[in-house]
Amino acid sequence: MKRSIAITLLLTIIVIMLIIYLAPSSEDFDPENPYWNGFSNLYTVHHPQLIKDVLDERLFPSPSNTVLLIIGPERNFTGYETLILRRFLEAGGRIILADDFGSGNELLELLGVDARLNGSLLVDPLFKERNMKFPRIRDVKISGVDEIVFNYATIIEGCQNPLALSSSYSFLDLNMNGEWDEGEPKGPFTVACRLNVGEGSLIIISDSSIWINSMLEMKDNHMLLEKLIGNRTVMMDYSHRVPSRLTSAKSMVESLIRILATPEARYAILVGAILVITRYRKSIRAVESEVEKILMRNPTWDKELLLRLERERRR
Amino acid sequence: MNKIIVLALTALLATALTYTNLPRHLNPQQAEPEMPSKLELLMIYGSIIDAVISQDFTHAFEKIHELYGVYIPENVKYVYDRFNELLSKEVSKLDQTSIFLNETKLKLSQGLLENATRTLKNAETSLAEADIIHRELEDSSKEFSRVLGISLPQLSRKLEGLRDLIQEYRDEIYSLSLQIKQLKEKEIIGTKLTLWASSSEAWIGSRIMIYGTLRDEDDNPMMGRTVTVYIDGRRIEEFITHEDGSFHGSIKIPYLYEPNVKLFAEYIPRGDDLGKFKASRSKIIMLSLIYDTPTINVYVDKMNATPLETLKVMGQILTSSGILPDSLHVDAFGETRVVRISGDGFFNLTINVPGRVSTGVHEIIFYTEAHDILAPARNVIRVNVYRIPVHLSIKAPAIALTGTQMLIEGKLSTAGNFTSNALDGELVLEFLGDRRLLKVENGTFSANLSIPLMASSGFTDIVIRFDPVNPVYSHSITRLKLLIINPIIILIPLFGVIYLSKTAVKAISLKRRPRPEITAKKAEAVKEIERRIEGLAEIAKIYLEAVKVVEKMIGVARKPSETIREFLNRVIDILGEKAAIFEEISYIAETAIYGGVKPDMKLVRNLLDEMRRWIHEA
Repeated sequence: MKRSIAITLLLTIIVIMLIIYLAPSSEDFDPENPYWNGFSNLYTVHHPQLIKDVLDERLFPSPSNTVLLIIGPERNFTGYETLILRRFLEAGGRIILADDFGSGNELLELLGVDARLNGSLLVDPLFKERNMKFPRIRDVKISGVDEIVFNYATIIEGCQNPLALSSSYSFLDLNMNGEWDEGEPKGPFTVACRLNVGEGSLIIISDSSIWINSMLEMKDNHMLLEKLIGNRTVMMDYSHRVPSRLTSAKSMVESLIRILATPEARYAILVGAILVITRYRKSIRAVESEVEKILMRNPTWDKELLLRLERERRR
Repeated sequence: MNKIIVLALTALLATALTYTNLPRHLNPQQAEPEMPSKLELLMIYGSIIDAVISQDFTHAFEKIHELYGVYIPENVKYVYDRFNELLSKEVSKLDQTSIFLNETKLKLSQGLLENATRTLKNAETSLAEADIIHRELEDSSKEFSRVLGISLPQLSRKLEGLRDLIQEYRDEIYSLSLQIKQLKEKEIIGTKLTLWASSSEAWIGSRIMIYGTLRDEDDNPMMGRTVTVYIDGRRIEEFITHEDGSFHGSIKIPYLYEPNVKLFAEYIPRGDDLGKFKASRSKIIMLSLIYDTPTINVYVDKMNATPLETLKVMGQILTSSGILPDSLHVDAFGETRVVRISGDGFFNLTINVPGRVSTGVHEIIFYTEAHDILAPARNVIRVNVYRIPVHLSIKAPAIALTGTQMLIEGKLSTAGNFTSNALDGELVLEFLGDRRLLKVENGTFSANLSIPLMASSGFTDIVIRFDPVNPVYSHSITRLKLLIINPIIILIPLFGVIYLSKTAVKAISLKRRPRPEITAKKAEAVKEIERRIEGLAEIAKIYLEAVKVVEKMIGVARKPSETIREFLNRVIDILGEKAAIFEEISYIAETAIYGGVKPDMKLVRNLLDEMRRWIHEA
């Protein structure tokens, strides 16, 4: 009985782990997420090199040929990372920070630049995509990019060199009631900004969702990304995201698989399996020999029944 | 059950409390289509019509273009687009009318009556078209205001402004056509304008003499008329013609640092001459300008420099006129400086390369600004900024066991000369996901690294990055490979291998053969047991057959747990007189199996045959 419970439990754990491993991610900004809020399309087209741990000297082999995407960061940046990013910029690197309500402002503060993300919701009652929370940005100062669409975005303050402005009909919906009220600031607002730091440039975009799967092909959103990337190698910061429970579980399963793939673990599994099989075969043989003995004394008894009884007795 | 509900609700509430932040995005597919804001939309139409009334058609078209960017739900898009299309057409026709009217006025002022008539005709046509479109626009405005919820009276008031403008243009056309008619009844006289210059080349800022005459087509001099002189389209001077129609005087050559410029004169009839004389322009005279472009010669003591190094720059500015600019401007490493120039044009300065400058080629720009006859001048030199590479030599073991400590020692060196404290700074050491900062003193460093007990075996990287305090030196990164051996993890497979080897040796080793003298002759007791077992098997087989016959006859099955005696007792009464035979077989089987009595096999077989006959009889 105990053995069957243990086997059922083990099988259940294996099946759950398999489901977790195979289930597609639905995490925001996840390169493996094929749904509307993922980055699978961006990842397929541009193959960015993901930085999943800390930002470090991997950025440095050729800063002037590298662009780093920091999209919707949620975790704060450390002093060391800020130092690395500043050096990367000074050496000619390009950073694209696309954020609205995340930890982008902390990074801007640590980098010592004046621009800040406002953090209030930008809406446009006229120039929009279906809904005023999807404002269309039509004043873009990048050749080849006529119009881009934002998704639940904010604005940039303190920018000296704006790259894109919202329409004059846009406003900040401070009380989130979907209507302009007295005192709510009216556009045009800066929604993309370029700052020169050393030899490099920091580009700030006040929407983290502009390149998610459902937004990438809207108007010139993809073209904007291509123009900002140019011919540079693309790296994407994934270390400042807070993973969901499913993603954490997935990474745990992946770690487990990695551990199981090591030679030590493989040897241990092999030896364990051999031991289990040997013991099982031994016990089968023991049962059979016990039944043979009984049958010798009672040849009229049913052999199959005796085998079953012996197996039950041994459990 | 109630407790579970309370717990579930509490959990739900707790989850709800964690989502107080703004969402990062919304699913565009699920976004409900919204109508545009009525007030904002009416504002756009109002600004379009206001721009048209004030004849700022460029602004009006910009606003119309804006309308096409407004999001309109699909079910009302046709009405919206059609209204905008009509509005755009009307504005376009009014713009054309305005252009034709202005052109007519110009031609009229120049006395070109035929041209003026033609353009006025065009103005009339485009205004008629605008009028037709306006009626369509007024008709569609009713449906437009209904579907978009815009107030019709407010929209109609705005459209009335366009109707007033059409009427205004109509009045203007009528007035101009009257003027043309009146002028046509009179005769307009042509004019001829000539111009000469005292020289075909001149210094900029100097003055040259010009001469000219203005006569009518019958060669009569035109006295007291204003003639304007232009150089490259710039208005330079106005002259009044004399009694004989001539004009002359000096003009100042502007400070244009161009090798060649165009000089011409123009007469436009004004006052009483309007409608009496035609406008005229002289032939173009090409004038060569003379100015002095300084040459900036620069010498820098080094073309390759490290940060914090000083560049010594010397140079001289040469001009053909001998006049020197007041100052020289120098743009270097993001800073602009003004440098004084000596009387003979020499200058020298020192430029400090900043510590935080990036490596690579930097341009140093030397320039002088334009002043009088001196044209602006520029010279650029390129300086390569580099940092001295630092070599990291490290002493570290190649193999280490888990749970132990290892010492890493290193030394920093450069190819060039350096003092030992010049390489002081910080060193970042990364090992097994851990990051440590080490101080470098006198160019050396050391660190003790602990290898965790449960670290897995295999190769791992030790990354060492040097960030010098002195910007002259470059950052340096070194990666070392370390083989970690974990004895605990290695022992597990080792035991497995030993166990398997032992099993394998057992399996393949030769088994001891039994000795023939022992095995050939079986013990008497064993033989007896074997014989007994053989006899028992036979009697047991016959008994079981007899049981099957009984089971078939009376339909009572023997239970597996029943002994021979128990089964017999159960069936004896049912069998009746036939029970005696089965009772005998049962007795013989029982005494043979449990009592060790040798059965009479012949008798038993005969009894079984008798029982089988029962079946046939039945």
